Amino acid sequence: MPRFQDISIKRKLTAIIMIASTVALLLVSAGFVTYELVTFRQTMTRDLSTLAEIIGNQSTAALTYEDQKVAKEILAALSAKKHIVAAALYDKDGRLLASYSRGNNPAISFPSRPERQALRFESDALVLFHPVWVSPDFAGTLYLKSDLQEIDERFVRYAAMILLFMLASWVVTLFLSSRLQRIISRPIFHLADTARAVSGTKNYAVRADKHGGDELGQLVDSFNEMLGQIQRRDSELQQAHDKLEIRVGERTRDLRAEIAERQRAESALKQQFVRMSLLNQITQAISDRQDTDSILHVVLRQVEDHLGLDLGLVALFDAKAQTLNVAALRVKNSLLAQKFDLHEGSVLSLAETGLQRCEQGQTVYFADTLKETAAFVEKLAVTNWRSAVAVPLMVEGKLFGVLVAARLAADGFNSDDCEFLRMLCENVALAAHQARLHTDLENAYNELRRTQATVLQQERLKALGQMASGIAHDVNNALSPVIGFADILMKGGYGLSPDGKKYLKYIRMAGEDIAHIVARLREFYRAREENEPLQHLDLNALIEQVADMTRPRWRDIPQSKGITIEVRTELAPDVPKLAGIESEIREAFTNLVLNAVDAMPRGGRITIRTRVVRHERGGRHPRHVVVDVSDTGTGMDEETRKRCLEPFFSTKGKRGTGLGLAMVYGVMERHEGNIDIQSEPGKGTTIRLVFPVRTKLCEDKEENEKHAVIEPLQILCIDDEPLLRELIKEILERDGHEVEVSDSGQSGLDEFRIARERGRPFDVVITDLGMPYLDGRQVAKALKQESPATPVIMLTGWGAFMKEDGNTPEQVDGVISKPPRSRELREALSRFHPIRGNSRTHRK
Amino acid sequence: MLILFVGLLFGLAFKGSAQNPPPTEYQIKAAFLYNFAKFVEWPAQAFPGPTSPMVVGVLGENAFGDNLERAIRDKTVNNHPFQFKQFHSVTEATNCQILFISASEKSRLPRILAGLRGTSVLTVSETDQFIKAGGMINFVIEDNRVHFQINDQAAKQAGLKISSKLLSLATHNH
Repeated sequence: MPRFQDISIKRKLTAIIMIASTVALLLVSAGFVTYELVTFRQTMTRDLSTLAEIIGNQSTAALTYEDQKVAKEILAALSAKKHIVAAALYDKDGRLLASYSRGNNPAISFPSRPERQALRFESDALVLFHPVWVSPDFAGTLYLKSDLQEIDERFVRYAAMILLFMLASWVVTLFLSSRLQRIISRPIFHLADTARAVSGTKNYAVRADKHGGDELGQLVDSFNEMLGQIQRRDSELQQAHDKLEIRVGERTRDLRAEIAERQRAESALKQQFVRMSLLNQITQAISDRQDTDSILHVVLRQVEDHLGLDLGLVALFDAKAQTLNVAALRVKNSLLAQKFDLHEGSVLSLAETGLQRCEQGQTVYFADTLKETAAFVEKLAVTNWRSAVAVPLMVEGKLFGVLVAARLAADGFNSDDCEFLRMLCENVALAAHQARLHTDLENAYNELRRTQATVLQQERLKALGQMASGIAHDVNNALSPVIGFADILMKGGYGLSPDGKKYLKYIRMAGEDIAHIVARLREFYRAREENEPLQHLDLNALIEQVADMTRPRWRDIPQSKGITIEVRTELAPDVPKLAGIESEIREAFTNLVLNAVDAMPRGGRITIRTRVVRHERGGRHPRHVVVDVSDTGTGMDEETRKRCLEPFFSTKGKRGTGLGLAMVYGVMERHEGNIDIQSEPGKGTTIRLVFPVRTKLCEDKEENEKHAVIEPLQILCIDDEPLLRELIKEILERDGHEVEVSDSGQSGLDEFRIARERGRPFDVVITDLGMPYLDGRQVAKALKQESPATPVIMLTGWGAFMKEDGNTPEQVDGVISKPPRSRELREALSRFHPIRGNSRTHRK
Repeated sequence: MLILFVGLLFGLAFKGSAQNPPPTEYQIKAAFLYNFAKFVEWPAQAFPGPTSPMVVGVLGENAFGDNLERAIRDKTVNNHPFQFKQFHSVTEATNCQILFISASEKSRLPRILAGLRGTSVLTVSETDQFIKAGGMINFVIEDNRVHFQINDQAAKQAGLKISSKLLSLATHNH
């Protein structure tokens, strides 16, 4: 079934009219019937009430006198009323007096008790209770029940009537509407037909006919108007369309051109991006590297791989020599590499490369190498590289190097390549420069570290030396009287027995031995004393001597155990003579040889080598003489090597004193030389002694001293140690001097003043340095204030150090080490008083 | 309310009639007498005034006892309050409206009726021949029930109108 919207307007109109009229009719009928029924019900109730009034009135007497018979007769009269179904009379007490039912229907039941006055519709009946009064008394109640058949009959009648009217009106309406709808539908159909025709044939010239001036007429006018507009538009559209076609054609051509252009730009951009990422990659690669060489090689490899170079070359610029030194080279084809006569390390002068412009930071491009004349470019041409680019590596505006890239084809580089290489070179230059700085820094750092280690070593040795000297000082203090008094006794005059003399000699020898040991302890850090004799030494001869002297130790003893040790000397012929102390140096060499023997428990070879070092090449004067003592022994580990110079450090257990190398070190220090130790476990040890070449010699003073004239002097000796005091007094008095002693700084000063006041001042004051309360320095200071001309000699176990450090107090004229020897004392006195002595002599 | 009121009225008229043993003959007859007043129309001159009492009298031996007095006490019909009177002679009875002539007067009946001629007194009795003698209403017992006979002719002669409804109840109509 078609939807209502889809059926034709004609039918729609008819249906609308039919539905409207039917609904109107139904509404009117429903209203009418309802009204009728309501009215009828009212009529019915009224009728029944009236009937009840009548019957009630008739039955008053019967009720009053409760006469059933009469009551029944009265009710029986109701049979004339065919709608009354039942009736009854109840007496005043509510008892059923008489009843009636239509057709004596026994099925009908009556209410057992009457209700008070009531009138109501039940489902199928109208029920009434009517009280009957006989003035003034209540007589009873009448009950009536009427059926509703009358209403039903009326309803059926009405329905039939309405149906009949409805059918009649439908017929009439259908007829009328089918006629009347044409007034509206016909123009619409016409319009629709016209529109269909227009849309079907696309003929916009067709017009619809107008039937009247109503809305439909207006519609037709509008439609025609619209058609007219469409017709105009259509023709305009056609024209526009034609124009558009032409323009689209033009635009399409433009777009194609533009797309092509964009594609070109995009590919260029892509290439650019690839280059950038390559640049980035290279930069990262080189930023990890610290040395120039590897940076340059990495760069060349990357550039060759990604740019397809046939030759990549980096040369570093030497500004002083104006040369380019080839530092890295990469050739793709190995055959060409052989043909090309440059290699890493080749040096080219800037002029012959034709790259002078690079110095100003310019990129140089050789589009065709055959046309160039510079020697370097010709080399490229000969090797078949027809085009080349040289890009400068600039650092801080200065040429650092040049990167040269070459290809087989002529004009093989475009501006992109050049630009890329330029950018790359900026980075490479920076990185290479950085790397160079880094290397320099590292070298400087290493140098600094070595220096620091040496300084540390020296400090340590110095401290140890000080400690050793401190011990020596105390030992000497104790030893001084032993040896001194033994000396005095030995010189006779005390009536000693021969045995006594012998024992005294033993005591003295033992004392000397102790002094010797103490001296050795001090020696490794003792400055060369001024009075020590320096001699011209022939190191070569000394070495031969030592080799001979130690032969029993390195040949005879090992041989007895079946071990062979060989000593070889490689001596330079032109070793100059050196100023030095022969005994010390000999002992040093001996120590080194014996150490080497100890280091080779399974045999081996000892090589002693001398050579001369001249500072400048071809320089005439030798600066240093180097002596290497090498062995093929067990060697030392790093820890041992560092500590082996320290005193008392030994790897030999009980056999070693730990003083051998320390002594050597001391000797070298005194000779202003250096000691250097190279050793590795299992590979042997080389000890290198470096002697500066000195020619100055000390004068032999001993002869002079022998002739020194010493007059008897007034001497004050201040020392808190009685034994030392007495020893000095004894020694000096033996030489004819007059000696006063004092046991403290203060009492010494007092003595000095008293002597001056008496007019017999002391000629010399000898004072100990370390004393309680007022020490030697303070004493000297006080003396010099009172009598600046009086010489003051300081007596101390620290004498050597005071001299070495330049620490001699201003007020002190001389320093004598403990234990004081008569010779030293005499020397010191003669040094301060020869003038006086001489002057006196002259005066005589 | 009305039912209750009505019930109360009848409760007074027939004391205990609903629940108690059935009413006695004279109780019924007293009620009948009272009710006759409702169905009989007296001429206007029968009453001295519009609210003059409706006098019910008994002539002769009072067989009702006090039943009749009770039945009419405080009752009113057409603005006429009921009043009971005991008569001993017919002359006394001429001014009443309803007169019950006791069976004891059976022998003097014609004289009594004659004495009442020209008055509008409704005569009631319970003796045979009362109707024949010219009485108006006579109680009879039939089927163990109280019935009455009416002599409408006599009533009309006395100017009384007896309602047809009452007439239809009577056993004999003359």
